[in-house]
Amino acid sequence: MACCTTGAALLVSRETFRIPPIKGPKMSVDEKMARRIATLARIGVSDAQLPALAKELSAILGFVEQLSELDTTGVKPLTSAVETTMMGREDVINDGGYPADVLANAPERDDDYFAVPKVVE
Amino acid sequence: MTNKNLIAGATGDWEIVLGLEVHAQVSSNAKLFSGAATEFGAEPNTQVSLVDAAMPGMLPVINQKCVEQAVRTGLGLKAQINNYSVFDRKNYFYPDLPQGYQISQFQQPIVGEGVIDIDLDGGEVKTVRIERLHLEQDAGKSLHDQHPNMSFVDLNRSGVALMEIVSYPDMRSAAEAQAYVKKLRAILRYLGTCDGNMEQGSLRADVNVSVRRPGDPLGTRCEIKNVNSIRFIGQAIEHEARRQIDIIEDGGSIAQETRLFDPKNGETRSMRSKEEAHDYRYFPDPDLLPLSFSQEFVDTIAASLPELPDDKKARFIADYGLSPYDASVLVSEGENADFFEAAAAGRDAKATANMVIGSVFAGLNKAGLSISESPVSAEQVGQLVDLQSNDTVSSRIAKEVFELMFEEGPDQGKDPAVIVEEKGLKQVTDTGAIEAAVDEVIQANPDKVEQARERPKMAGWFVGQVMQATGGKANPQAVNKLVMQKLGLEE
Repeated sequence: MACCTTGAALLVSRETFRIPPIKGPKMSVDEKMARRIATLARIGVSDAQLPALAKELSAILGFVEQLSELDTTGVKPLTSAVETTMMGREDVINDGGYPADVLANAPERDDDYFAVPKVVE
Repeated sequence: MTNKNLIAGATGDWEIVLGLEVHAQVSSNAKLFSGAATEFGAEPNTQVSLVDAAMPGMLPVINQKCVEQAVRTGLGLKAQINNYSVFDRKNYFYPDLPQGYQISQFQQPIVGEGVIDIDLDGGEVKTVRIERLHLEQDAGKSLHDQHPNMSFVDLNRSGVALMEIVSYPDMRSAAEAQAYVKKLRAILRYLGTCDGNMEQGSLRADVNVSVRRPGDPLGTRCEIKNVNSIRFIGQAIEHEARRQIDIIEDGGSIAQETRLFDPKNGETRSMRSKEEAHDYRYFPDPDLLPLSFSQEFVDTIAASLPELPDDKKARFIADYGLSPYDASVLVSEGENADFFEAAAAGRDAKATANMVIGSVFAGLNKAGLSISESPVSAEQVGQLVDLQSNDTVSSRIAKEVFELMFEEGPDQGKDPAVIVEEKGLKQVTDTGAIEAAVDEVIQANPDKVEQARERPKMAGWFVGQVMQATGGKANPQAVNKLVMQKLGLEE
């Protein structure tokens, strides 16, 4: 809260986001959970890396959890911090028609299709 | 009260419980968040913007028309319209989902609870509750049969707007689920918010199936993904319910899972790859602001809603005196109802309905034509009904005249009166001529006369013979009367 009262606060100091010491032996993310998060995000993580990752993720969650100290009864969830309504587009076709650009980065292609290792249900 | 929907197992009766999630493609020119085209059947990856291909830094901008179509659909389902809704990211990995997430609506959808009245056999009507309708992006399309060890991906469909319409588990039989999809499709088509083309994938259903003993709490459900025809929906449900009953009766339990229906053998099978994917980690899409609109926007759309199938059906019954069955057949497609109304204008509506359903729809069905391609115009159908009503032709000859008009097609299309004149099909009402024909048949068949005196039902055979002898032109009532007289039978 106090960080935004002066213009100088725009330059966020390292102090502001210092991760506070975790109270007690709280490990909200264990190694099993860390493995699951890595799998869901399709990130390759070796078993040796897991303990450190679990500890780091737990620390981050612990930091964020400080927010729960605030009483938010009756406060609506904030989906956006911008006080404006979403702008829309007209229902007009004004894009597309460049398959070569769309496929430019494809590791593999066949005619104008992306070609990927077979995924079959 | 007995429940006709119960199905018998080896250990007693079971009840099927069904809820449907229907994905309906929004009718729009451009996609939900980009300006690329939505038209079906284009060359691969030609209708893809850099937004749809999820190139880094590309931002979604919502298509207002899609919002309007979702609201219009919500109003057609008599549903709660939420003037404030939120887009979320539904995260999963699949080759045809370039973003790695689908933009959808999770906790705050654009449309809340509504209802659909479904039409069942025997004119019975049942109300199915709608839980919600939300807007979301379609994924691309994967082709698995083009290459031995590669899958091909076409992103043309990626980003096309879908309405996911979720029902409560209110249906109890395959027939009810089919009636629900038919009715929902009709409503969407009347509203013009989805073309309802199931073959092209514009309308697809995920079917949630569970079974239980009557009166028990809900059983564990399985979800059958992407069933794309009304017939397959019926087959998938019948098979899946039987599979679950067999497992439970053998002492097993149902595992909640996603299954696929295979039309080739009429069975469902487990979709193993999805097992791990159920953690979608929804969160509000930071690229999009909440979607909000004024009540005035909603009211303007409400004021422009067309007459919907239920209202039209009620009007056909009240104003034209049609049976509920005929009325529901006529209103199933808006164009069919329009054709009927054009043909029935100023004449006997029941006779017109009979001809439209019995001859026009039957003929079009057989020829594989749509109503807009009908070789016989509504005006000509009306004229033919008149010829039948004023006894110029019998109903049998009317059918024949219709077939002649249908075969000739719209180019040569002669009016029915011309065909009747040219082919000499005018009904014979001259009693002398009919009498002569009756006498002839009676004289030629003394044995049948004997039989008819014993069994008066045989009289029908004589009527048939006389009709044949006169080329169907004799007035059937007159023939009937004379045959009865001559055979000495009571009418």
